Amino acid sequence: MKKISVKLAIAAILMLFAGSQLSAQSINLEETMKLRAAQKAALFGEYLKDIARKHDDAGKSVPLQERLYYCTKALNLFIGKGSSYYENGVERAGVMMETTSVNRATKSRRLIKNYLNGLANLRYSEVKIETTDVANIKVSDLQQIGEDTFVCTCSIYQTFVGYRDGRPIYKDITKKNIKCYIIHEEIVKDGGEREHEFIVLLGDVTASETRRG
Amino acid sequence: MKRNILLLLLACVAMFAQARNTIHWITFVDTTDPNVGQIDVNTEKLLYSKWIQVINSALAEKGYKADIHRYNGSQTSPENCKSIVTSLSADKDDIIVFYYVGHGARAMQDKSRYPQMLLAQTYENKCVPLEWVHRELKKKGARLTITFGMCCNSYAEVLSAKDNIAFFANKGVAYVNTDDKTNIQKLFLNNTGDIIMSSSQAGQSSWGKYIEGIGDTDYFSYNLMRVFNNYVSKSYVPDWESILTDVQTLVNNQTLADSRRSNVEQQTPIFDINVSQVTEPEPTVSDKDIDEAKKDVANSVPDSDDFNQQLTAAFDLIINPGIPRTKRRELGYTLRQYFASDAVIRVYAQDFDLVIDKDDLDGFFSRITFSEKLLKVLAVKCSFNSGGKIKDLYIREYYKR
Repeated sequence: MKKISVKLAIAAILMLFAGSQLSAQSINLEETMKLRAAQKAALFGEYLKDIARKHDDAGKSVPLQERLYYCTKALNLFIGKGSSYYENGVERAGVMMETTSVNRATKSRRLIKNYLNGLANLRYSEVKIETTDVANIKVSDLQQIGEDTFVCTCSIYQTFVGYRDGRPIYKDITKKNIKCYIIHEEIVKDGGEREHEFIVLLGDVTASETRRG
Repeated sequence: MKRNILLLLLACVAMFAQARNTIHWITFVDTTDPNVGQIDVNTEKLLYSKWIQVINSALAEKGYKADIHRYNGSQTSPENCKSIVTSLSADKDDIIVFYYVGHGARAMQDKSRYPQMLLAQTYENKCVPLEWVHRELKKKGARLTITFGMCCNSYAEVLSAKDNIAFFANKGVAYVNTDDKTNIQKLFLNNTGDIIMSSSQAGQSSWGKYIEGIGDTDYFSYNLMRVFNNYVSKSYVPDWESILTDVQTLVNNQTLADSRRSNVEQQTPIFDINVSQVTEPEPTVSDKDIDEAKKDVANSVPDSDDFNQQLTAAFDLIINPGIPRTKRRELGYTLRQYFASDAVIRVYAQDFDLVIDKDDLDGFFSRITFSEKLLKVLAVKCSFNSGGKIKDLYIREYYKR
């Protein structure tokens, strides 16, 4: 595939909107898509928090069934709903989640759905996860990886605290990098009219910079 | 089927409604004028995306629902203006905001400082005085009444002075910062009284302006939105006097500066403020609120602005973190049955009609039910399949920051 700059690629897509109001605002499109990616990454952080914690704000126990329900719903955020998908013609087994621990030197990688189920089943009496607020999520510039596909990386910080009998026994702070796909689609409506749309989906999550909290 | 959807929405809203206080918006924008119509089209879009929906998102958290009466194109008329102004009803804790964008003028003998609005027509006896609108809206007894007129206030010899309308109506549709949101709430809910403002003083015209990155709009609307958003982002609670004084100063200074190099003339907005501080109302739901909600939805027409408003009101409840998540999920499941199983929910960008994301049914409802950061999910338009189920829904989302 011939590589062209992201700005030119976006400009080419925007030519399709030529004559509309969008032309005057083309410089905002990349930032708009990056913001959307950050919103989705922030929502993933919200899911992690509620999948992991065993008691709500009022102290009431949250059943495992409820937290497993959140696991299935969180997968809607991901490409292929977390399961197999194609990238550049190559089939991937599913979205991967990388995890680290201050107690081990190596990183581990699992399918996102297995990671989320594992998170819901952690053996701590309580788990608290906090992630970066959307306003503070750093988003890389878009890179084009296919004719109609761009990617960027959203970087968040996750604070993980595990409790036993009310006492924190494990805490770490990890930088997580969430790959985000921004896919352009051309849709033909019922009357034959063509419309151009984007969809934002999360991909693999890698972990770096784990430190004791 | 479509009427069943409306009745169901109504029942859902009534079941879970925590507060029925309302902010009523009445906007008239003359988008048909051959000279300035296109500028006004852009101004209307900016008003709604940058200001009106931002305010609605902030007040939704305090239980306020939005009641929008949006007139543009051929609906901009003196008859429609009189009709909505006289028929609007409001409760004591409601807020009313009127905004006009179009042509205006004043008679040589007009006593009011404020102009008469042409409302997309040229018969002088049909022009509607801005101050008449303000007076009528004040009579509704709302908590806060605000009237803006973005139009010329220049003298027209053919125009007769009016303090009332002179004809009979023919009886015959984006990230709010936490601090910003709090300031918007305080500005609207901790002030009671009335405000009227016109974009120019007697004898002056009101002028359009091209803004880089925004497009064509007018000096007044642009500065109103800009100053408003600047003030609500401050670390202290803003007041209306400061906001409107700044708008007045900026418009005056900008037009004065631009008059030296273009055909723009000096334009000085005028205003009168009559507000006092008050504590914000307690959110309440009464049987009367629920009955009124039933009437509202039963009278709404499918695929109309009213229908979209009712859908938006239902989403307000689904995203409300004050309602237990299990109840919000139940409400989502109830609404889902009125969507086609392959329905697509498309998210528009805040500032323009480009689809920046989309969900299937499960993805959409699980996302909006789960997120604690959504301030508003605004239904913009929808279409139905042959079975009467919603197959496409376009929305805008506003998030807390």
